Amino acid sequence: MSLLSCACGNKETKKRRAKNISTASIGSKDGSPKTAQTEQQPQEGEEEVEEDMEQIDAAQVQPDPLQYELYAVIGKGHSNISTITLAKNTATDSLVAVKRVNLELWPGELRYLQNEMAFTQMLSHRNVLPFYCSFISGQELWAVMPLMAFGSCRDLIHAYFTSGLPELAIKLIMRDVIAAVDYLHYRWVIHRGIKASHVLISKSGRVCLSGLHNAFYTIQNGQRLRTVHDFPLHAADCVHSYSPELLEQNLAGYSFNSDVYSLGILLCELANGQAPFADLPATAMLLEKMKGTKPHLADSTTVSEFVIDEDAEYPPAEGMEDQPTSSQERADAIFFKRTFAPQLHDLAAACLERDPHHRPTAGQLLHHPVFKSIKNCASSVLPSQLQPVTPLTDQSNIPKDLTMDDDDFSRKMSEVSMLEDWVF
Amino acid sequence: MDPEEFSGASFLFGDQNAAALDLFYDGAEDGDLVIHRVESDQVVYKPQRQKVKMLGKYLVGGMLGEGSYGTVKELLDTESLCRRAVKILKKRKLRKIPNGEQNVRRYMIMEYCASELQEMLDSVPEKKFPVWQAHGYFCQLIDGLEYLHSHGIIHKDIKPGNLLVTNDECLKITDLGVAEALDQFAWTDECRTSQGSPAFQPPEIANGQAVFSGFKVDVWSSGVTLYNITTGKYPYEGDNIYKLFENISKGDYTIPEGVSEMLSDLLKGMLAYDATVRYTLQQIREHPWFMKYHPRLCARVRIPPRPEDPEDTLRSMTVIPRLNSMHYGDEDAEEDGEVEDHIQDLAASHYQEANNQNESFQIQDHTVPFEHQSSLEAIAEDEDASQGMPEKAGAAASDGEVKVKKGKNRNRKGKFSSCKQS
Repeated sequence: MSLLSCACGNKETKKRRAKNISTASIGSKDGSPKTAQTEQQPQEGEEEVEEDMEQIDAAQVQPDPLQYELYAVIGKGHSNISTITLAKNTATDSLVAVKRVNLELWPGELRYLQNEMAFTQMLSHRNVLPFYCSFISGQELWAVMPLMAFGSCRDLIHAYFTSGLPELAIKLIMRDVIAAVDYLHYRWVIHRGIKASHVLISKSGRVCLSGLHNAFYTIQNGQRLRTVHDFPLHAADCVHSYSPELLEQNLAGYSFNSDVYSLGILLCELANGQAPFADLPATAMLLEKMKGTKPHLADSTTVSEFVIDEDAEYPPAEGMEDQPTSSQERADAIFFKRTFAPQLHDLAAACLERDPHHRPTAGQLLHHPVFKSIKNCASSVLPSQLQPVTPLTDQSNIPKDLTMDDDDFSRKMSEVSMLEDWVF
Repeated sequence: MDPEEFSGASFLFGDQNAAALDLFYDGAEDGDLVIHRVESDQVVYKPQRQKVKMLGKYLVGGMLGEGSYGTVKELLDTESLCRRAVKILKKRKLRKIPNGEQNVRRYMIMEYCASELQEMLDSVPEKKFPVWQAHGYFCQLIDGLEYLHSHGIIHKDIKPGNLLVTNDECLKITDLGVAEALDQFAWTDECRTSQGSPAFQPPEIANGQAVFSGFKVDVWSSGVTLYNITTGKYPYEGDNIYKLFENISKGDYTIPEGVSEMLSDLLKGMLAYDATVRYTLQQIREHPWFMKYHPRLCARVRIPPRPEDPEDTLRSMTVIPRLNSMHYGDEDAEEDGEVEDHIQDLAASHYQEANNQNESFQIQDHTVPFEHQSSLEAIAEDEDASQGMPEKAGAAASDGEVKVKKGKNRNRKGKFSSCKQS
């Protein structure tokens, strides 16, 4: 039952840890608009405020399954083995998301789940998805998390923004994700799974990075590793976001800047509506990355090039010819109409540098010129940018009815489109 | 992949309308290029696929090592993109193992390892590691050995050639081909047979004792290994196996000058003639040399580049060119003007194909015992060993589908290797 002890580490320790971690604040779970601070270094977070919020959380959220009324499944994670359920915390009458994993059905090693729990407890940053608590209930491991009402960025793309999010939204999301990654690196953690389905957005526009199950702690046996050689085996769905040096698995290994490459992939995914090489089989993706093919954002400056690329680089290789050209053409038309800021292209190019030594660090990226334009722009602006997609809470204010009419609710859910997995 | 598309590669040169040349290599003969002239209308373009070989979900890459048992090739898991290695046993070898053809599959898929200690030793003129590096490997060796012994497995063939190193310098014990699993209910670690490499055999085996302690055999051979990787020499040498065993049974060896007091004390403990006073693994762990921190005074011996590709200092994936032909046919090869190389590759792959399909065709010189054991000797894997090996100790995790069904009888592989080492 080491899992129990790990997963349910008591709140005392958590608070103590939170004190040690000099950084940043966890916003209240409905995502208080403490956004003006995002431009600051995370280390400058206000400790007092944070302390208070921790206490509130601790008091309100008990590791007791009876405290939560489960409503509807809003997503699946871990290749469909875990379910994310919308639930109401009866103590506070607030909505939360509960991730449940049936440990009996869990095929892999429990260490992998423990990893996620341990990391989440170890970290505290307003842009890293926290767990309020986690506990074992029957055969299931429950993790109670804030409800991220807009779902993941993948969901957003799926629901409406099939050819990419609006530029301002991209910038806001990237800024917060980079802040989270910078924090992780500062805590010696390599995320290794940065992709759109791991970026969640709350009702108020707070952006949270999740998916820590694939993370790697670079301090092993009391020693800090300069390079890492561990190849993540349990997350085949993350393969497309891996950096070339991670995929290469040679003597050079990889390091924190592997995450920076994945940030570039995320940026492309947010902007183009599809991750680069996502339509290729994994082996072809590997080949492209090894060759140094540099993905880019599709807009009027690149789209003509983009079309040619499509023709030239992906000849009738397997699985390619059956792609309907019409949808591609339609997407191209949309791409052609828009023009991203040159700085945004620059950001993508900097992240997607083939040679890891030429990539900037996450900390340097925070000061990238692209974020100057949104310096005074709080992330509370984000929800307005995401219209017409509405957050989940707007549709579920009357939970009582929902319990009675599950089908109706799930139909409503489908409007937000949860077809794509929430991979927490 | 597709045998239909296998009929020689077609290369188109220059103008499509003009006559095109169809070069193709006749695989059976060495080095003879046959050039046929073919009219352009007869040329049918076929995507060149012959280099792409799949083994289940694995894409087969270049050769990692070769030995008397067969070959070790690199693999790429096409789903997770993880590098793997496969040991392909020769059918002939399988036949030598009683019930081998039924019990042992030909392919054993294992973790990818970058190099082996022997190869690293051979890459430096003094044939030894700096003390701190040797210490690191030795600690891992003892960890792994302790794990094996805790499962009642006696390796019996510990030597630098059977110790692999991963990309992150983690040591892996491999080749359980002559290992013995003790009976689950056995009271003692009594063994009666051993077919390990002669230079690493303890006196009780050299003397031909009928019954001896299995664990102490591994301690001895670990001692010889430690002696070897710290000094570059062997405690006992001999021109042939008889001389060698004679020397071992005499029990006279010297520890070269320059070896620290502490280390020579440990070596003496591990190479004690009498197996009953020889150190146990626990005693080794408690030895001051083992526990000491060894400062990194000199540079480490690095994993050398592959002999086939001296420029690839990082030992990168060998499957990349194959991926290229898998996804883009041979267009790239033509564009890059690599046709020459290409043909040579083709020849090589043809040749390999022939070998694989027609085993009786294979000629290997077995007159010199174990000539071929130099390179990645044996990444043999035992089911027992592969079950949940800890990272440090682990011989690799077999990948499920392709596994060796362990039969104790495999012990009879009869391998008197490395006589020539002395």
